[in-house]
Amino acid sequence: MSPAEVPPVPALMDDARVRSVWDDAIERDGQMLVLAGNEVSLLSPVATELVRAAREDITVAELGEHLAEVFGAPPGQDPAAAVREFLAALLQRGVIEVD
Amino acid sequence: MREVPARLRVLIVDSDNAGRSAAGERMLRRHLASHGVSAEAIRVTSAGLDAADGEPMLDLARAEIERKGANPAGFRTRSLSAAIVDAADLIVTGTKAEWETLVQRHPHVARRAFTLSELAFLYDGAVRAAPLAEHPALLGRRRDAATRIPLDFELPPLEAIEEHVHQLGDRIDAACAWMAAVWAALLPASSHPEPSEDAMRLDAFGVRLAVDFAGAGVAPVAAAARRMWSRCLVPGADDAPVESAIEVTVDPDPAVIAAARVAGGLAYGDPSHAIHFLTSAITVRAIEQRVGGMVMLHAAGIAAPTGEVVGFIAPSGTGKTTLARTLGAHYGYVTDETLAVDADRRVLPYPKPLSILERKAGGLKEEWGPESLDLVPVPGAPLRLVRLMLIERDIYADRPVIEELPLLEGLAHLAEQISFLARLPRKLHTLADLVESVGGVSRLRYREARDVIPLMPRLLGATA
Repeated sequence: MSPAEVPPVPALMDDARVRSVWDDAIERDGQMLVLAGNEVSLLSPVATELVRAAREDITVAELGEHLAEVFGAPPGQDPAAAVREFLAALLQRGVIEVD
Repeated sequence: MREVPARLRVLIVDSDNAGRSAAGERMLRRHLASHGVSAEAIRVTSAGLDAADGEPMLDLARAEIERKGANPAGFRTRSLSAAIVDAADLIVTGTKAEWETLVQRHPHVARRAFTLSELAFLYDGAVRAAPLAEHPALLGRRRDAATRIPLDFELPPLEAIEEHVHQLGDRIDAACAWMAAVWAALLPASSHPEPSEDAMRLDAFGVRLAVDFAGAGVAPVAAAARRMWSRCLVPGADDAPVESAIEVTVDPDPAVIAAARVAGGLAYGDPSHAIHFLTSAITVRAIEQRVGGMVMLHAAGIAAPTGEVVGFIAPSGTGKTTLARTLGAHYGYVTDETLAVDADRRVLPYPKPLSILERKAGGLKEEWGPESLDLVPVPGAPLRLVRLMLIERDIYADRPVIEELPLLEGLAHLAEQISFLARLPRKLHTLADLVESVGGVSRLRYREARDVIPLMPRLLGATA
């Protein structure tokens, strides 16, 4: 993505509540293709689990813990910090909203 | 006639809203007005990331706006709020640094925000023939795929302030002029004029359109258009109802052009612009008539004599037209740009003119009719889609390589090349059904378009 080659990570607090939104989705083999507005995004298995877990409101910290439970803790990284990187990308694609 | 969202809401953002964004707002409004585009069709506003509210603009900006013939009256600065951001479809920032600040504060607009320099680059001849509502997403994808986009204008140092401001004013005005010209041609019809008896009647994937010509300089354009559109021309005796009518005026007199634009027509001072924008306008008007009805792919279509069609999918400017021209010398030329497929996989042809020559000054390509290029006509047999291929030029491909893609990956690529995907009855699922009915999506890598010719019997199936 450009202009910023590295997408900026928004200042999401651990207790910020996020929610996934989409207009249509197809799941196959643990991956998900989602349509949100005019944007189509192919989600990795981790991102797929993230948006499923965020179907109802959930905090950033809870999401981090959930993903660590399902996929194991990210090596050398705080789960909530790792989840923020996913959230930044998904926010930009309109698949995640912050309450 | 179906309703299509017409409004594009453009927001111009800089730091203080007193200089560049104010100038951009007023210059863009002026150019849109000169094309007869109302504020209801395209709304242009501005705001500043760290602006005070209610201040006048800088004197330098006012002078630049007036120098460009635009109107600075009544302007007051605004601070950028979340509501202002959310109300915009397309956001234009002055600089890369402002883009970054905007996206830090409002990450969800990253993919619909662009620097002005970036937008001028992305619009340079490549985004054509797509409904305006889809432009932010299209431009975003084009940005993802592009390299070395100039993010900021190169300008004289701030110490030479007058020269700096003049050059910046020139760049902003030129970018606004080009964007206004592109958008004006692609807006849905603001009125529905009754076509004359002499109108050029066209069939574009089953949509009936009429084009009338007017103005002192239009004769060569009318003649060229009839030649270029010969494969889509409907015989005069046909009395099917016209679904969309366009009037194009070519005249050296600015007053004639202004009057024609106010009346809702396309109007240009020179024939090359008229031809260029007419092609885009016809395609977009036709697409609008079939929103939610058919799957309309940004794809070239090539047909066997027995009616089987292969769709070659790629973004604009990446080889579809060259491939259509090369393969069309041997197989039926269905279209080079918009492949329309109904729920039964029936393909409706759109053998439009092809933009094939090197880009010329002003970002225009030259249009050539399929007849002039001696392309094979669409066969008489019913057309049916049998294969969907994503195409990718690869200078290292010694021979063409075909690779089957997993369903979701294929769909993800395909979905980016669909008009009004969100308006299809079952959205992604409609597309998935189509893809599965043709056995999935493959990727074809090739070096030269001619390398694909020997593959065609295999791609079309045994019947070809």
